Amino acid sequence: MRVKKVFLFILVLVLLPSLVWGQRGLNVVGTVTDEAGNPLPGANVFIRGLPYGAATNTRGEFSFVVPISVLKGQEAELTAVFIGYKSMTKKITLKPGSVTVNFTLARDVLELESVVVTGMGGTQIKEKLGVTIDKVKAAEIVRADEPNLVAALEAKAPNVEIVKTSGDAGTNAYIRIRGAASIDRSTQPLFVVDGVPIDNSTDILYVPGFGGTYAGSGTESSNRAADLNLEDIESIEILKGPAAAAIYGSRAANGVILITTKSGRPGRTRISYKMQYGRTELSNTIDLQHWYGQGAKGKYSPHSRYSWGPPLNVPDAPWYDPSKPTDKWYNHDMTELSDGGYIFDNTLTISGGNNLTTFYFSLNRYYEKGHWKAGSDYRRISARLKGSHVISEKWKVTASLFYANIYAHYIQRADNLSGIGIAELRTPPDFNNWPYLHPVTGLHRSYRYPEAKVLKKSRGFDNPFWILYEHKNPSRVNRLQGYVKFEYDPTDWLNLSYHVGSDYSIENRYNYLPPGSSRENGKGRLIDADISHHEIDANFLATIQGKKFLKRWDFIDGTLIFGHNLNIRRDRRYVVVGVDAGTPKGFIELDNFVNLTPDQYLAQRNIESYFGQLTLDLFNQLYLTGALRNDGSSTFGKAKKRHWYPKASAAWEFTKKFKIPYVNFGKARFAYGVAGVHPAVYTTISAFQAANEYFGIYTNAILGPTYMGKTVFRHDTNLGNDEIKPERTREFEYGLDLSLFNDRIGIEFTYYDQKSTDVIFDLNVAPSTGSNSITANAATIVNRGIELSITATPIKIRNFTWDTKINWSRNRNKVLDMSGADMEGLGGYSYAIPGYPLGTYRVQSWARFGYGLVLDLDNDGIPETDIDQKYAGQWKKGDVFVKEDGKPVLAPVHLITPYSPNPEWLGSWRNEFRFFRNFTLSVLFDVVYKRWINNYGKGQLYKYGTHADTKVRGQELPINHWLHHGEKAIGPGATNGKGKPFLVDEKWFMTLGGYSGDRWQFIEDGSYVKLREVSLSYRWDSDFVKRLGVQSVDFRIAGRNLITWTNYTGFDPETNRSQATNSRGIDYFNSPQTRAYTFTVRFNY
Amino acid sequence: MWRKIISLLAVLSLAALMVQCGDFLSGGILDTDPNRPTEVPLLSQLAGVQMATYGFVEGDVGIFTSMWMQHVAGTGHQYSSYEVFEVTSDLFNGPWNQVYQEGGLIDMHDVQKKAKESGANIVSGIAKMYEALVVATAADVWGDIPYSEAADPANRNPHYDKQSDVHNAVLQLIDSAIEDFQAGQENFDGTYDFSFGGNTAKWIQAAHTLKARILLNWAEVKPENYQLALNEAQQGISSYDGNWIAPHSDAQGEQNIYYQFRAQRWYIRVGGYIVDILKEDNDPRLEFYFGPNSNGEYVGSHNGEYNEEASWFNESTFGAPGWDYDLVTWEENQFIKAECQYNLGDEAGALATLNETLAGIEERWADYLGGRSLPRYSNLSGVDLLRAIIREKYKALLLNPQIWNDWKRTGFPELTTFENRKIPRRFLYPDNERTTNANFPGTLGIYHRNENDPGDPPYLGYIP
Repeated sequence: MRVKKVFLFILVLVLLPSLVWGQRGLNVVGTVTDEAGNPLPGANVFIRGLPYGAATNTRGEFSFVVPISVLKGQEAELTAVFIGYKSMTKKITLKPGSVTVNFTLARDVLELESVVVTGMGGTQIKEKLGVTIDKVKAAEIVRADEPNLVAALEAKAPNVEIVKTSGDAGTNAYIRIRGAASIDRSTQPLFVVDGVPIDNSTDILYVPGFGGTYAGSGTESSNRAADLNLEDIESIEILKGPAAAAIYGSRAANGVILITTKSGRPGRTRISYKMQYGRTELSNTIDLQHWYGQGAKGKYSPHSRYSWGPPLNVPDAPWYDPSKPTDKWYNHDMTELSDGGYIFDNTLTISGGNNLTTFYFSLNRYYEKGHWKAGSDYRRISARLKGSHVISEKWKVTASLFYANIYAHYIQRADNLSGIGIAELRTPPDFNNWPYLHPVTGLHRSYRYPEAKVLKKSRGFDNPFWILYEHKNPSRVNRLQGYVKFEYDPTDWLNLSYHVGSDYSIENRYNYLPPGSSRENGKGRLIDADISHHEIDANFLATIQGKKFLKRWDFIDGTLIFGHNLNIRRDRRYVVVGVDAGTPKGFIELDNFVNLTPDQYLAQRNIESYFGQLTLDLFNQLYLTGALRNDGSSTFGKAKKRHWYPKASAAWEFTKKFKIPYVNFGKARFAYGVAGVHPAVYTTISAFQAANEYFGIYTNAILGPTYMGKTVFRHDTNLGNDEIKPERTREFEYGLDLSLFNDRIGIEFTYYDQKSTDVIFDLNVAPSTGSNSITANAATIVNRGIELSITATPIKIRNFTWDTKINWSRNRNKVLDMSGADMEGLGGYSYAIPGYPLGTYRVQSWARFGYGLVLDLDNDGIPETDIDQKYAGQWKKGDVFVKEDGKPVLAPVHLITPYSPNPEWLGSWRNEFRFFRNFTLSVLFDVVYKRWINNYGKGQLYKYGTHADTKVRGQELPINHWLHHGEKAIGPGATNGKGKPFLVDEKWFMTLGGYSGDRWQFIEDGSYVKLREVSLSYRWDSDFVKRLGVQSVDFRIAGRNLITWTNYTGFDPETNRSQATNSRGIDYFNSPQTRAYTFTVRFNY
Repeated sequence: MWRKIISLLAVLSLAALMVQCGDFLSGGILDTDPNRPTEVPLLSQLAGVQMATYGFVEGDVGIFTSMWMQHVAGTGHQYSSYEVFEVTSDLFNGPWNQVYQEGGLIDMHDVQKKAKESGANIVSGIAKMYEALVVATAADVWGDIPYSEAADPANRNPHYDKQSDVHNAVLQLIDSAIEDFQAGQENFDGTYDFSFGGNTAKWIQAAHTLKARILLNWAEVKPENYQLALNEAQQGISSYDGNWIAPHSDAQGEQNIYYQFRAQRWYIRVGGYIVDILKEDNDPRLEFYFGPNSNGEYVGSHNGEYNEEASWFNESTFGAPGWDYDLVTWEENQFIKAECQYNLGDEAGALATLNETLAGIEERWADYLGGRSLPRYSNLSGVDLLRAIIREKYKALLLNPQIWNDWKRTGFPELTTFENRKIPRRFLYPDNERTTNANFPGTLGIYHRNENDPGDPPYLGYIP
């Protein structure tokens, strides 16, 4: 019986195309509108159980034909579905002829009917979810006008914090969800595309020993998730914490980003072509002074690195004397280096298929010329081919292949003698950086060596134009990613699937500093690196459909999934550093360098897991999920090779039981889950190392890795730990989802409580034991927070709809315990300290109260004054001690500040206005509140005398002038909390007052409100267009980051010295951000 | 229903079959680190000990002492604070770690143990000499340090030995090194001995000079040491050909640390005081040591002056990438002799030794001095003679940390400082040790006196 049915079904499928076009059948036509009568374009209308349907056009009209062979006069259900609206079903009779069915859909602000991917083969409709999963739709991702997938998620979901490192073309973006809970391990989520994990590493080309190429210097580079083409993405689900993500086990404690790519749909072949042109420009500048020239002690000196020279006779200076020649000055706030960039983005997608076979194909070329005048661009060409085929009644195969080729050029930046920020912002105002080559000698000239005579000599700092025009930092990435998935349905209640996926990327990167650059004593340097990552993932899944398995019990429904996963990750790097170039120009190859040092790295880790998940729907109102995963990893210590990760959630749709006025829908939910973070590879091993070593603080001098032609082995400073375990984060999540006032307002509220134990870091041991540290599961960190989303449709009238969504979230982070360690550096004055939020700044500072400081005030060498005691009762923590002359003194130790890069809260506000059916205006605001930025690069500009604040030189000011956090001055040189004025001179800024002094004053409130996205789009679908053979043409003008409201004095509060790493919130000559304007045309065939 | 359950079980057993991959989580590259070995050749580890020692003496220890002794001046960035003695304890993490780690004591002990097991006496002797140099230097700059219980991963809280106990133990260690050298070893590959190429006679002389240095550094509290040090110096390095040097080359990773520092960052320049006295003495080493600045002048930066126009080292000598660094030298041996002779009452002998030394230095650097001669001394006695000896030692031992010990002991040279700040007497204990070692003795300031440096020399008549 069943066989016959299936046979018929297949016959229908095979013959379908000819049937559709060959014979007259039932013509189904109609419209889909909202309650105000506005058409809903893009709604899907289909017959349940049969593969016939269509999507509506911009007028909300649909039409399709049901072939005659199917028409037996039976009743069928015609359903209209549109995201954000409740679906609606109407009965029709299948008989030849024509039928008109109009749907008026009701708003569903919470999108309760949308299918949410929950991971590892599971899906659930949102109504039944027991955890928070944020779904980001294709339209929202594309609307961001960002080539980088991670950056495109900015302001899209509560408690998802994203920082794009700068406005440079192709740069990386960092993402963390619900705060950070790792010290040495990554704090970013796992990325999964169509069920296959992918690499999202940011390789900052760490080259041990060569002038400190670490996260804070060198060039920026892309994060690997940015290789994806955003047009390919159907939706992104954000699993925020272990309660949702436990099914991914020991890689999921930071959350999981589940990316679903587009698939072809049966029916007409759809072709869409998108063309985008955009302009980018610097979004913010900083204030520099131009009243004083190069030199020291008020005198001009052509080799001085400082701007403490003579007053310049410039028109806006108080001493301007028009009778004397006016001095020329140049603005070095980076505007002279930037002429704006442009974007040219072309995407072709073709998709379609029939009922047996579907395909999706895309081709994308994205080109961005960076905003810098030269040296910066990013070009990505990618193609994706995805297809599925029904082999037989029981067998289906799906395969996808993605290839990307990226060719980009990056700029040396940040903490770097050859970095653009240092080069530009330190230039004295009376020096013209242009031309960067000496007109006579043709040699690189910079402000400290304007008349350079020798090619291979350091210029102190590079000329910023030299950096742009002569440095070469190309990167070529080839990425191949794909999977094959077989599905087998032995019976109607069981589905078996097996997929094998692979993600391979190889990046070849050059960093070329020509001879005459400031590093390597001007000899020139080439770093040539090959970096490859390969991940293979094989997944077996057995899914049992409860409804079909347990037909007799109709009060119960659910699914049961069993699975097994094998995962292999292999990283390989090969880096050669060449110093001292032969031929000075043009020949950029290692053969041209005298001193070559190779470095090689190889690592592999394997994971093997079992998992199971049971979801139950009881009485159609209580939804339960339980899951368990067991992970074994080659990186786990021998003592315990396998670890368990449980999760459970319950959601109760109480409005099904109780009717509450004005509440259309109400659900209370609770979830619990545990997930982990892997130890680093090979941490179980204590070994020798042959690496080179730094000698002398800040000297950048290294010896090794070989010496006098011999290999040099020494004990590694870090001890391995055979007992190492994965980090473990357990999470409780409580939530309430409400839909009110006829589904006009939706409220989602979540409270979560995460506790991460066994957090891994290199626990310091006494250095005199011969080792510095032992890798250990030694810290406990908690993250607690709340998330609130309010969705509403405040206005909905004919021809005008206003939809709005507000996200608000906060996270409180605290390091509880570090097994006796008092702190662990995260890089750049950011620390993990017990009792403080992770990343708390601890900085060089003036002596302040509340730290038990004992000071030597008479310079007799004996510390004797306990300032806290001496001024007991007068101070509050952080107040500054001042001596008789009104000046502070330097604290003998670095002080823990109350500031950290963890924001107090995050918010976003999205508005969408649709009018006259074809126009859509979308406005998105992004808010970050009190994320402190350690802007100690400003201290250098104080020291160098280029910052506008140094214009106060020569005045008498009290210390309070520099106290920005409400501190008082207390001590013999202070009255009523105010310090005695003292002469503010060069010496002040060079020592106590600048970078060498107090860095606390440079910690700034990085709060901002950004007009993140604004766009106006128009869909042109008149008959005229159709006559040209096009369904519609979409036009869109948009802007990104158009306005930033902030009190931050650096370029932009969205910045990070250490790029996409755990060390957050530091600004040290970081590159600026950009704003973008784009114009897009999309042809839909 | 039963059929369903049976098929379910079948599926599960199929799944179980697929996961029979016993070795999936271990073996090969999974639990053997391809990047770091767990066993290494003895001689490569000895090479590590040597390289680490060079970096330790020449790096932070050398730079900080040379800066405070004004051979060099910190003119930029953090170094402009360090120059005027504004230092914090975390600055000293680096050199402290180098005493114990990564080619420090942990490897020095390991090499000695393995060498003893295989009868490699010369390897053992060399490792002991490097240990002696590093530990003696560490005790010079920090005073009490963990030594007898140090570099033992099983003991997480090594206690601090008194400075005198450390130096006494080092003297014994040097004696046992001498015994090792005397015992000799067949088939030692001299190319692994970077300083002496396996020449044990030179090692033995260097051993005596190092003993003389340690003994002299205690003479302030043990006057009898002048005689003991003199005795050792008599057996010490007999010619500058026998100098214990840290060899460098033009190759990446083998370059002189001052060269590399300058190549990367311009935070230090030539000190004002050394330039002044070389000029004052019309000493041809001025041009030999230093290079002209951009105005063609030889200028040093005085303490706290931060003179951006100051000179750098002569780029073909001390500023060259391949310039070897003197660790323990014949010159030092001679100056030890002279100082001992002076303190033992033999002023004529001391003066003769001083002039003999200057002649030797002239000979050593003849290629660089262009036939110009060094000053000679006559008619000197009393404190003036001592002042001259230390002044010449200060000029000769450019960048050598020992000059700080000489200054602490003798008060010479008479340096002036920014705002008349006092010059430190010791390094701070590092932050790392304070936070991790239960036996940490407590924070001591830079002016805290070490055991061998209790007071200022009375003949100076002032407290420096």
